Amino acid sequence: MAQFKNNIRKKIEPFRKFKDNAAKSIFAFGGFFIILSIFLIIFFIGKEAVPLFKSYQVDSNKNFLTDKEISENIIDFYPDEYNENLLFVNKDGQLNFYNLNTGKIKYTYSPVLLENETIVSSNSFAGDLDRILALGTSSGRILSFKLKFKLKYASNLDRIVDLMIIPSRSITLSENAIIKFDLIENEESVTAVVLDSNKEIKFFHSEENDEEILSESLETSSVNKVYNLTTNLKNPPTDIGLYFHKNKVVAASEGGEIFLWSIENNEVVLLQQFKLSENQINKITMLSGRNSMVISNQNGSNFVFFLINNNLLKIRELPKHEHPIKNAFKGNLKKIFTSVDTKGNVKISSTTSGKELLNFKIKDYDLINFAFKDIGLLSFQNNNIEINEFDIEHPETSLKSTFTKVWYEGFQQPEYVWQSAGGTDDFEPKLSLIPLIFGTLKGTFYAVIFALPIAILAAICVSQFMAPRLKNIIKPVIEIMAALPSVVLGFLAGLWLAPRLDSVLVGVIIFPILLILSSLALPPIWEKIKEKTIIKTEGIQFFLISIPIIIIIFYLGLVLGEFIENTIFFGSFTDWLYQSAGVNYDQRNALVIGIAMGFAVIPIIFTISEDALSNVPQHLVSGSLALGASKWQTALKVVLPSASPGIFSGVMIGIGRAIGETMIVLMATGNTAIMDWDIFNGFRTLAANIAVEIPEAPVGGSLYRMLFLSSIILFMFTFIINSIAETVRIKLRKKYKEL
Amino acid sequence: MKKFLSSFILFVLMVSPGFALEVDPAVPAYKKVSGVSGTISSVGSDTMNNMMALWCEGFTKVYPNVKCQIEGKGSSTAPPALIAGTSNIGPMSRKMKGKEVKKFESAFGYKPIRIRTAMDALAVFLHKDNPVECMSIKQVDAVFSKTRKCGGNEDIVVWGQLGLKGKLRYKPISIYGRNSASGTYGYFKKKATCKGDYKDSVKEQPGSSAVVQGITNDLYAIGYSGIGYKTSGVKAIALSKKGKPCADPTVESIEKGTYPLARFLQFYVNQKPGEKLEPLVYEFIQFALSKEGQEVVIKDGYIPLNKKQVDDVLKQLN
Repeated sequence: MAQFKNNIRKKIEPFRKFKDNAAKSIFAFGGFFIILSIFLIIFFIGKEAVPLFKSYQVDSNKNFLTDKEISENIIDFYPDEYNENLLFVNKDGQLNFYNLNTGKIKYTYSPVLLENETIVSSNSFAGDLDRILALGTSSGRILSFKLKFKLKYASNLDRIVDLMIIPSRSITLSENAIIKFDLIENEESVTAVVLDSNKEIKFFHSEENDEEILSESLETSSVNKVYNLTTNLKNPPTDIGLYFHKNKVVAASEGGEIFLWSIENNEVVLLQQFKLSENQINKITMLSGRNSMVISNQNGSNFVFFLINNNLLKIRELPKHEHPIKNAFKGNLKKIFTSVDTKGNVKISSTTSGKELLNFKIKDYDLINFAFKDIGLLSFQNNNIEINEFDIEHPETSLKSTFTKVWYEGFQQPEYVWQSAGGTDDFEPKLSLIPLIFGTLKGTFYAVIFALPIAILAAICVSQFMAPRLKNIIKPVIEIMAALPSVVLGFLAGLWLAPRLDSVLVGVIIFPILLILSSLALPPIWEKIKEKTIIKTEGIQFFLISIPIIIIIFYLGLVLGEFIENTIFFGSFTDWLYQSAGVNYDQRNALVIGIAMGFAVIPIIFTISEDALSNVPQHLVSGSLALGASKWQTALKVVLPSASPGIFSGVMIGIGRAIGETMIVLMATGNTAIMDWDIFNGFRTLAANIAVEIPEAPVGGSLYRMLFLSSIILFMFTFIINSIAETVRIKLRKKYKEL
Repeated sequence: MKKFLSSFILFVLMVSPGFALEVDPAVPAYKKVSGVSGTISSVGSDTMNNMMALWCEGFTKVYPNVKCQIEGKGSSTAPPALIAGTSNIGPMSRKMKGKEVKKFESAFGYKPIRIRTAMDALAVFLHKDNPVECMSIKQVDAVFSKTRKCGGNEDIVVWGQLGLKGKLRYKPISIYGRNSASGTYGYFKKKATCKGDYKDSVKEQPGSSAVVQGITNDLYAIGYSGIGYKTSGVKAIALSKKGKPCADPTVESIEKGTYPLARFLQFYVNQKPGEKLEPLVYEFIQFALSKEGQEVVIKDGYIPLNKKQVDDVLKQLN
């Protein structure tokens, strides 16, 4: 017999070994592959998010020489979108559109000037549709033009930019030459403020009465009238600026003073006047959107100022130069600020975070300008044009602005805000992840609060007290709940539950209390009934009896809730809540989500906990019962501790599910990015935010990368939670293994 | 259950844009005529660029030997092109200004003809039982925006601040809005909050119908969305601007320009009084105002004209 066995073993052994090894390596490969793919996913997501925090450099430095004649008499120049053509503004008013590559003038336009009139200053703005060029003349006029750039492609796909100049307006503001000016011009209105050679500041506003404009911001009747603002200045003004309200003017002086005027009801009011420092202020730069400005000093410092409640406030300091600032530019499309000092040092910084993004040095220059699409700096001396090209893709994001409070334009104080998009280019993106992380935690917290007691109590009940026949029905039914698509739960919660909840709110809050009280009160009665009937506590009959009892208790809760609401809370609990506690009951709130997401989480926690409880070795239970412990004592003191590792990991996996849940939150909350633990408010989670915003996020843009960053954070959350679950589970299991 | 089911179907339909908008069934389908050829050249509105392209696509399907040239640089480019004769249709998202009409008149001796083709309006919706009838833009801004750029002095958070008494007085306002992907979000931000920032408590809904659905179930709600999404459960309130009287979002007020968040999208054409338009342009307008053309309007997210408006427009031409 033994001989026979040995023979078989000899025959089978090599094959078996091969099978073992094959299986081993397949499993090892599978496991390795899963780990590898997870790392690859993280790597690729991370790769999308990393450029948010990268540092920038100058991509290219080009130099061009122009003809001597062309560069004579130039007072300013403006590049096109691609830095390929320049529009030269001549002293005599001639506007030449010059191609850098061919060195030829493509188009010339000469505006009609008065006799002996010359151009002394110029400015260019992005208008409603076209770019606007404005020229200040020696006789106190501002002439504005629309610059219509036309893009064509040659047969070899070379870009050809054509320009057409269309005169727009002519305004007379002063008798003296206009040294500096600021202008807001659109189809319906024009507002200008000028600094003339007599060191006087003049303001002008004109509005065509068009039914279709909507601007309540300007309630002045200052139509077609020039105002002089210089009556109370001690030191000569150096620069001026216009706020978006159109009737708020700022000016800076040689003595370091800042003035703020408001022109209302035909009257000039000096709203504010203060001394920033002893240093002369060289530049006022209105940032795009004209909500805020940067003040640049003789000693090289740059300060961002906001206008809050008619009050100028110093918000933050931008990177400081060691030499006086000679020129400063706003970003047209992005919230950046560029300053150039007298030694040619250039610093580009984010006006949202104050972070320095780029610094480099340029050659000496006479004239300088910033590229229209924020992609370069062009400087000009004699007949040499130097172009430094760069692309600052994500100026608005830094670790600081993502995770700390930021004082945004127009806000009363620093805040955590998520508001990623606006209708216009001058919108300041507000990309703080804190409200989203907060929302994720809040949603998870309320879901777990709702699900945890129900799921664990249900698991104890099913595993310890229920007859096997009933258990075989109940368990699969609860597990089927997990198969319910979350979009259906979200739909039910958002459109069915939420509108009904506020009318029965008190009842819903009272119901669990009533349930606990009744479960304490009912057993003595039950004992009496039990003596007279054959119903067993474990049986189906008991189950069938308890359902109507729970329904009756729920109904009682609602009736009682209504009674309490009418007597104690004067008819409306939510009103009382708002008036006495200041708590705003929002229809789409965390309670709704708690219930809906709780339903999604209950089956997970229940199944895992129930398995853990059922798998407690029978000898422990039998031993406990044999020693005289009751069923309840056994469940609580023996079974529950032994199963705790399993229950714990069930809870953790449930939390993981709640953190990543998207559809329920998306549909049933208002996706309001507020930070408030209140149960009667909504929230916006990371997952829902990705779902809402990814369709609109331009690929490669800041928002797009920010969403990838938030997905990494989401992943980190679940990773940490699952790791905790696993380590705690292993530890607990070791502890209870000895039993 | 039936109600539940129907609301479920409604919800599913919400995802598809343009739901609840239909072309007035009385607007007739386009009938092909003979002898139409040439080139439609249009210079004007950028807003209407897509719609023009879609109209052209449909029109050239009917008349394969018609060509289309569409340039959409902005409404202001329409009058100069019409005056210079370089275009035969000038789509504009605003009315011609007095100056522009004057220039046209001095060139031709008569006024250009305005042909309304579609409406573009945003409504502010409240629950149907909410007694508020009218709000100023300043108030709308103070409700929706935390920066209050339109100039409101105090933040409006409860209905009492909008003049309500009794039960609603201390009820907080529950605000619904669109997600930032929508053009409506941007338009409302630009026009109704003076480019200010929305409050954090604005509940962002994934579609216009979801906004309306939310308001239907919430007595204390306010929200905005295209007027075409109005249902019986909500009411679109009147709005006022700059202290002018309140204007309901009706066809009349939209036409007069008194409703602040509305505008017509129109063509301007050069038609000599007493003479007929050239057949090509005439048929193009007929097409744009036909059932097919107005379906394009819906497809592009705007509001189609009703039978009466279409008839009024066509009467102008004959």
